[in-house]
This record gives sequence, structure tokens and C-alpha cells, in this order.
Amino acid sequence: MNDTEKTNTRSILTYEVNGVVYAIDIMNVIDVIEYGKVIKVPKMPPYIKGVIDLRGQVVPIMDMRKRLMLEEIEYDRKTCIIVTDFDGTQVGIIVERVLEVENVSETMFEATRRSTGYVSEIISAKDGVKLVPDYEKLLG
Amino acid sequence: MPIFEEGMDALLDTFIYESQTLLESLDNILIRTEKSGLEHEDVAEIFRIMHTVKGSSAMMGVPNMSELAHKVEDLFYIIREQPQVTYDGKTLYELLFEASDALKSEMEILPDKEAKFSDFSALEEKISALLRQMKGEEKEQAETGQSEEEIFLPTDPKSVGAVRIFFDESCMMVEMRALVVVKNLKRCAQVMSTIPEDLDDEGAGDYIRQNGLVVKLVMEGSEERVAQAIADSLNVARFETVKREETKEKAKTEPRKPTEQATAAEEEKKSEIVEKNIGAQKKQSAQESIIQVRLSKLDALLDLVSEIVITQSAVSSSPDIRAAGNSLEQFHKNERQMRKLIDELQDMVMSIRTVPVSQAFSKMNRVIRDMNNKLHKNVELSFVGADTEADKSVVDILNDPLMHLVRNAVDHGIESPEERLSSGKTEPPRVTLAASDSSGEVIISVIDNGKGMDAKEILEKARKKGLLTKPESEYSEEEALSLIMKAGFSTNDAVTEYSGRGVGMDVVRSNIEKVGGKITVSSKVGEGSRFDLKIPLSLSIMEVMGIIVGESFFSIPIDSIIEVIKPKKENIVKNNDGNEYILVRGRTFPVIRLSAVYDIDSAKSELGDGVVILCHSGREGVCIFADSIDSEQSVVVKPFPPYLSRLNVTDYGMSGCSILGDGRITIILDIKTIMDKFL
Repeated sequence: MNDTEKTNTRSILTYEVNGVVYAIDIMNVIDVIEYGKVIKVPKMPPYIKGVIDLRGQVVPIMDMRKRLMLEEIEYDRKTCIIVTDFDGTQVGIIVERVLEVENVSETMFEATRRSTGYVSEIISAKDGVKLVPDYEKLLG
Repeated sequence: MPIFEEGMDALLDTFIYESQTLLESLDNILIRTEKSGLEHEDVAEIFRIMHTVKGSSAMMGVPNMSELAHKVEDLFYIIREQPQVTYDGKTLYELLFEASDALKSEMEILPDKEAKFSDFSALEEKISALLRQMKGEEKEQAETGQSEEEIFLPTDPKSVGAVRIFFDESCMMVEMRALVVVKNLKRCAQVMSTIPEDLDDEGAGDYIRQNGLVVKLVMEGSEERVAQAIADSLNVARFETVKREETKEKAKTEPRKPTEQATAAEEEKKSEIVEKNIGAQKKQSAQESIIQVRLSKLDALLDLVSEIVITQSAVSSSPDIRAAGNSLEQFHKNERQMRKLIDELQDMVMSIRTVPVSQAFSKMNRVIRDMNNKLHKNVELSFVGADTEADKSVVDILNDPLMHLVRNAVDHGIESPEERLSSGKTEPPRVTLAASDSSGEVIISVIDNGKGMDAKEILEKARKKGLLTKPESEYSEEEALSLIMKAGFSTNDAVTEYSGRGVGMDVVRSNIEKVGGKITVSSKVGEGSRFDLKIPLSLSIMEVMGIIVGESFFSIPIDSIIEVIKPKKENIVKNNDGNEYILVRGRTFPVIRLSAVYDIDSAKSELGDGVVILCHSGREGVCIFADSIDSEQSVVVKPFPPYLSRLNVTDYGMSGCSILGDGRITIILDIKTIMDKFL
């Protein structure tokens, strides 16, 4: 096949929750920071762990495991918070491992019909399957 | 293509700001005078506004704006000089509003380097037509001799006459020639006045070209010399003596001394002119003592002041200082002085930034006027609390939401006159904008007395559009009504000019939430609807008392605290339902344990072991139980991120959070809400 066709590529960041690999578009990532002290905000849904101070801004933090209805585990030094930004709304998500940034061509993204588990697209790559959640639903 | 010369870019901002301000005040004058009629000052003011816009847009290199402004200026020149000229008021106002809109919208595209200058020739032609009509009338008047009435006063003595001088068509600087002629005339006769009065004025040249220059002077005995003086002047095409009607002579027979009267009238006029000049000068000097400041600079200033407040607080409550105890008297004295100064500084900066919300409200006058013209619903607009002040950044945000809400209210809420009649509504349709402030928030309400909204209908419509996220029955009335703000909801079958495209309200809501605010809807079918916008006063700095509950760090505004007590066992009362009360100096107050209401651990369980903070909201009091007190601090309160406010965090008594100088985050409590929620 003639590979001179230009295909669009997207840059994604992959991360791991409970052994499953997910991906997020780099455009929606502001920062990746070490998991640290999160100030609890009372009366919030259980998956909202609280808030942190990110360079003078107060950012809400969501626990991905809790959001996905998994039991809590102890976080270690590999645990990170990915600070996401969707349309100006910032939310940090706690993930167990941050893997890497890679370029994936548009054609690799396949939409899925299944409506549970927050997944909207799937990337079937040679090095493994990466799930792309519907972040609007996931982050509420 | 608006490419401006180097250096002009910086002036562009000033030009846009100043012109927008002028056009806004023009709008206000137009709206007011449309009903009440044009007074002399209104005409003069409109002329001045157009004159300024003409000049400054010419300087900026925006020829279309300059020409359009020039045309309107011409219109008002005639209205000013010939107050009795008749014209169709409706046409005039339509043109004026159209011109104002055209100029305003042109300024919006100016910053875009790709945009092209708009073509105003159609509008200009309409104005020219009106101009011709008005001038045509004038010419008629000149021919029927009516203008004699203006030139001559009944009290003018017989010796006073007037000449009308016409200059060559090819003459370039007509005003100059006119000035020279008048000067020549002054040498041989007593010149009383000229029409146009002010030969230095911009429009004078055009006027003279059209109508000739009229010079009123004492002719008797000097006719020949006058004629000679005129003939000697350059570029004079022809001149004629303006005839006076014989009947005017009758006034002279009255016993009053006419010449004295004439001079008295002149004196009055002179002093009027002087007063006007002084007034104008005063206005100018008042204007000169106002300067424009970019809001971003004020933002930076406020941030800086906030940092100073936090740092000062950190210094004063530093553990080193506390360790030294009472031995630092001089230090504490200076520290108190510094605190006082910083307080004043903070107040000053906040007051610089506050403006009355009327700034945003008054813009709605135009919206209502335009909508009434189109929809004929005759909606009245009324304001309540328009002088409520809020931070400029907050008032700026209000424009778009208010516009959407007002348009919706008139378009959808208010019924047509026939509908109102048939449903027995006798009061006039009204939209009310109300503003008030309370505990760090500004509340803006848009209220209409229209047909209201039916929650059931809304749920039905939302279901059909697939917008429901939970079963219909689980929606409270308020939640159901709020669905109208969801994206994609209001795609009306008939998309009107004003609403129904489904992109309005959701954007409005997200913009309000972005600044930490909230929109709530309430409505009664048949009576009307109400939208409340709650916007926290941005960056309020307040003094708070920090308290520790388990691992959590809360703060209570000092204003809400009456005192801190360590209750004695005999003053504690426990009810059989588990609720506790404390007796303080003859009054009994309920106890709220933050650990209980917030489901967090606390270190202390006995009321006597921890601290009790007696707080109040209005005349009611409540005791808040905590493990210990942290310290008094001045903090900059930031609203919660919209993400959390959507989860109703404020309903649980948490009004905002703050990052302290030492990096800790504290959650600010609102006593009133806590009492509402947990008692």
C-alpha cells in the first residue's frame, strides 16, 4: 500500500487503573503530578476525594477506582494525578500508573457500541488494547 | 482591511473604549427622547457625540465610520440650527438606531485584522434622503420668506437689516471667505449677528453653501458701503437684501425701548454662551480627572494586595512570634499599624473595582425597546436595586446572561396582548431586573409576569429529546425547570430571531458557573417565571478563625463568631433524640458537631474536651463543636470550582476555600447555610 497518504495522528497519554490501560488525548491534559495530600471536601460523592492546590488554583480530585466501583487500594509512589481540562473545567484523576505519551493515527480509534463502563472508543494497537473513556460522562 | 499604522494599535483600544462609551450614552439619549422629544441640549449632545466619533474614526483611519458619523452630524446640524424644521420622527429614530448599531458593530470587527470595512452606503443614502427632505423644507421656507421671522426680532429697530450672501460654487474654504466678508462688513456697519452663528463650526461651511450666509446688521445709512464691502470680497457669487415685512414695524410702537431690549437680549445671549462654555470646560475638567485603567491591571493589583494580606497574616501568626509570647510589644504595635494600613489598602482596591450593576441593567433598555418594536407586546422594564455595587469583573459577566434571559422572558414568557386579556391579566407585561447582595454574593434576578413554565411539559420535552439522565419521577420541580438550560433543549419549532436555536442557555449557565456562580429557576404556571443568578463577589478577603476537626481544617468568618467557649458540664443539655444544647448567659443554643454532619472523624468527643464556637446568623445563634482552634487569619476566599458547586457543595454550608500562606487549604463555612441545612 502506498504510504504517502497523510493520516491524522493524535497524541495520547496512556495510564493504568486496576490493570486496565486507558488513554486520554494530550490536548486535555494540563499536568501530571505525584499523588499527595488531598484535602477532603465533606458531603461529596464517594469518588470525589477532595481538592488540591495546583499553583494557586483549587482543583477537584476524582478517584478513578472509586468511580469505576472498584475497592480502594493503598496508593504508592507510582500513583499519579492526571490534571485534565475539558472546556475550561479542570478535574484531577487519581490513576495507579501513568504509562506513556504516544502518537496514534486517527484510524486506530474505533467507536464502540457498548454503553457501560464509560468506554466510547477502543484503540487496538500492537502493544495492547487501550480504552478511551467518554470523559464527559466519566467526569460528569 | 483594518491594518493600522504602527503605533495606532495601541490607540485602537482607547478609540474603541471611548467610542463605545459615547455610543452607549447616545443610545440612552435616543431611548429617552424617542418618547419625550428632543430638547435643545439633547440635540447639542447628539451633535457633539457624532462630531467626536467622526473625528476620532477619521484619525484612526476608519473612513466608513467617519463618513457615517458625518452624515448623522449633518442631520443634527440642521436640527440644531433650524429648530422648527419638520421631519418624520419615526424615520429619524429608525435611522439613528440603525446608525448607532452600525457603528457599534463596526468597532467589534476592528481588532480583527482579516476583516474588511463594512459598507454603510445604503444607510448613508437613507440619511441623505432625509437630509434632502429637511433641507428642501428649509429652501421652501426661505422662499416663502418665513425665515425672516428668525432673522429679525420684533424689537429690532427699522435701521436693522440683513443681507444674504452666496459664494461661488467653486469656492473651497467657504467659512474663510465668510469670515472675511463679515470682517469687511464690520468696518463699515454695525454687525449684529450672522446665520450660521458660529463660522468656526464644522458644519458652517456646508450650511453656507446650501443656504447662503446671512448677516444681520445696521443697514440704514450704510447700504452703499455694505454693498461695496461685499462686492470687494472674494468669491462672492451674489447677494440680496433680506426683506422685512412691514407688519413687524408695529412692535416698535410699544413704549418699551426697543434698542435697549435688543441689547439686553444680546447680553443675555452672550452670558448664555459664556455659561455654556464654562459648563463645557467644567465638564472637560471633570472628565480630565478620570483616567482609564485596564481591568487586567486592577486584577493584578488585587492579586498583589491579596498576597500581601496573606503574607502579613503569615508573619503575624508565625510560630516564632507566638513563641516569643508577650515580650514583643513594639513589634505587635507596629504589626497592628501595618494591619490597619493593609486593611485600608484592601478596601481602596476593592472600591476601585466596584461599579453599580445599573451599568449592565441599563443596556437592557435597548433590548426591550427593540423587542417591543418587533413583537408589539409592550413590555415594561423595571429595575430594583440597580445601585447595588459589585466587582467590575462580575458586572461585565452579567451582560450576556441578562440579554439571554430578558430575551427569553419577552419572547417566550410574556404572552401577546390578546392572550393576556383572555386570561384576565390586567397589569402590564413586565420584566423586572433585581439586584441585591448578601454574605459575599451578588444575587441578580430576572422576573417576568408572563405565562410561567410547566415542569411536566418540560420533562416531557426533555424526554423526547433524550436529555434525561434519570427517571422522570426522580426529578424535583426545580430540577425539571432547570432542564431548559440543558444544551439542545430549546430548539423551538419556530426559531425566532431572538431565541430557539438551542445554544443560548447552556452557555449562559456554564459561564456563570465558571466564576463560581449558580443559576436557579422557579416558576408558577400562569403567573410568571424567575431566574436567580448567584455570583460570589470575586476574591473577597475576609478574616476567619481556623478550626480543626480531626484531619480537616475549616474556617469560620470572624463576623459570624460571637465567642469561643469551653462549656461546663452543668451547662450542657442533651435531648433524648441525641441533640445537644448549651446554655450561655441565659440563652440556650443548639450544638452542631461538624464531625457528625460532615461524616468525618474527630479527635475529641466530649463537648468539654474540645472547643465550642458560638456563632450567629442574624439574631439566631448556634454552637459549633471542633477539636481545637487553629489561628485567626486574613484569607482570600476563592469560590469552589464549578465542578463542585454543581454537586451542591455550597448547600452544605461550605462557601468557598482558601489557600493559606503556609500552603494549607481551608474550607470556609457559611453559618447561615449550616443552620439552614443541619438544624
